[in-house]
Amino acid sequence: MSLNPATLARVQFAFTVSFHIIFPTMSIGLAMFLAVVEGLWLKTKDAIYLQIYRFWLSIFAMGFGVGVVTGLVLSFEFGLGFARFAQLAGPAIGPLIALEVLTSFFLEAGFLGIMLFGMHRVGPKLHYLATCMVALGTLLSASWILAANSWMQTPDGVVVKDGRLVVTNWWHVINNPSWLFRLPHMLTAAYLTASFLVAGVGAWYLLRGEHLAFAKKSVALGTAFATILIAGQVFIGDILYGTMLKHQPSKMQAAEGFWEKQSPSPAPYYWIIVPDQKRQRNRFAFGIPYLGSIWLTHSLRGSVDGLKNTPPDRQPTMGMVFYGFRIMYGIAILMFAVATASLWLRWKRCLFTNRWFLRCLVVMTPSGIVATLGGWYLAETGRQPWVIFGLLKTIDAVSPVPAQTLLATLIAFVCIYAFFMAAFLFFVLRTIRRGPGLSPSHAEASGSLKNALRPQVLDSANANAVLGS
Amino acid sequence: MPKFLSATVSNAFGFIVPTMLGTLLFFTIIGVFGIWMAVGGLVFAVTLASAIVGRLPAEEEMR
Repeated sequence: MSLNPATLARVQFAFTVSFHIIFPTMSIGLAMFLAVVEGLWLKTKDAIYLQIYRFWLSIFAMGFGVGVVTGLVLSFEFGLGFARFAQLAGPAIGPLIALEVLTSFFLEAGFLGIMLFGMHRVGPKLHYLATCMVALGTLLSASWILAANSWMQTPDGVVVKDGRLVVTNWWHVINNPSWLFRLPHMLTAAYLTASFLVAGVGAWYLLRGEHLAFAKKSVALGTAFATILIAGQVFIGDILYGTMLKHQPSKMQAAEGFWEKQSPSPAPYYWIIVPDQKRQRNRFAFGIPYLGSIWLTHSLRGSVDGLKNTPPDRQPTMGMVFYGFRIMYGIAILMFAVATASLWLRWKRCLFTNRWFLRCLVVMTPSGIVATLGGWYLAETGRQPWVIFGLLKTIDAVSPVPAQTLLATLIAFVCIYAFFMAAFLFFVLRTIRRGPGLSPSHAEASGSLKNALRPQVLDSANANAVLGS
Repeated sequence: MPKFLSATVSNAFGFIVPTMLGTLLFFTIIGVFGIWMAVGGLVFAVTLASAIVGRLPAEEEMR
């Protein structure tokens, strides 16, 4: 069997980027959650907020570390697997990646130490500033990466001159047609991910009857954020759908599962299909009648464009695009249902006692991560066969590297990342099993907030006195 | 009506009302009734959620 370098390069990048995106999604969401919780603690002086902050800080730190390490690998993979892409797109993509390092990495690196270890060493306002700066850093990081990826989806501000890309307008490179919609969509996805993580862990404790105060506050906070965020996310998602329909029609044609140039009228909304790309038809399709027309055309009998509107050599693989979209959208509908139920139960004052709802929250704990992965599969597989939409095909972007090299590095990545994931899951599950801790540390037990946060730096003048006492 | 049936009907009704409201709100926000209705639906959903979350503590003892 001969190995295809192009396929191996794609599989390797898909594997490493799928693994990577789990961790930034969590850390972007948790950083903002921690900023809100610390703000609430400073405002209310309620110790439960500090307990929540400390519990999630340790998980955030672990996720942040794995996210940074696995993110660095991706830059090197541009060279290893997609050197021709790096060569062509470098003038546009390179500065965006550099700006991410200069703005967000420096900001995060500067304040992360204070956030993780400075609770007893700096004042409360400075510590809060550090948390906010780390949250801002994650937001800026997402902005630059989304600018780079959105430019690959909807390139703008460049011309091709002598086989190379020349940037003619930097503002158009950054603010390309899809960036302003994809950025809030991704950020909201990250915040939703954190909300369901927090609510799910709280619900698990409530079902076990453990750490009740912590658990109730976690469920209350998680469901409150999720309820507001999911409404915004559904709205942004719909606007983004319209934008991508205009700029990447082939992606959205594949995402809806119709082959013929015009779908039947009224169009069903498919949930399960078995596509046959070669024969350009579905072997099997299951959908809800009328719903496709209502959701996609906003009319009872509207038709939807099928993938045959795009020439076969420019079509993405329908199955991957379709199921990426259905996973993301299906989970969004479930999130909306859970959010509505949480409002109803809150109204009836039984949010913490309805065991069915608490079980639902536990099941939904990783839903944000799965939905984000589905969304990225939609985005990336839907762009195919292009790596830069309309400008450079993926097959032409692959490095002239032997297949054996790509296979060896792929096996190495799988082994190393399996270790990373096992270590991360072991640490997180152990932290959750141990719980938020029954007794606060000595600093918080000292009475006043002022004393609790008094700097504890030993200098040469008082070190001897402290050591001698 | 037997007591268990009454409880079942009551539970089913309690389930149906938020389902209907949630479905209607979802369809509105994704733009089925037009963009301005979608904006209105979003504002309504966020306002309603903020009001309920902010004013109702949802406290009750675990059964």
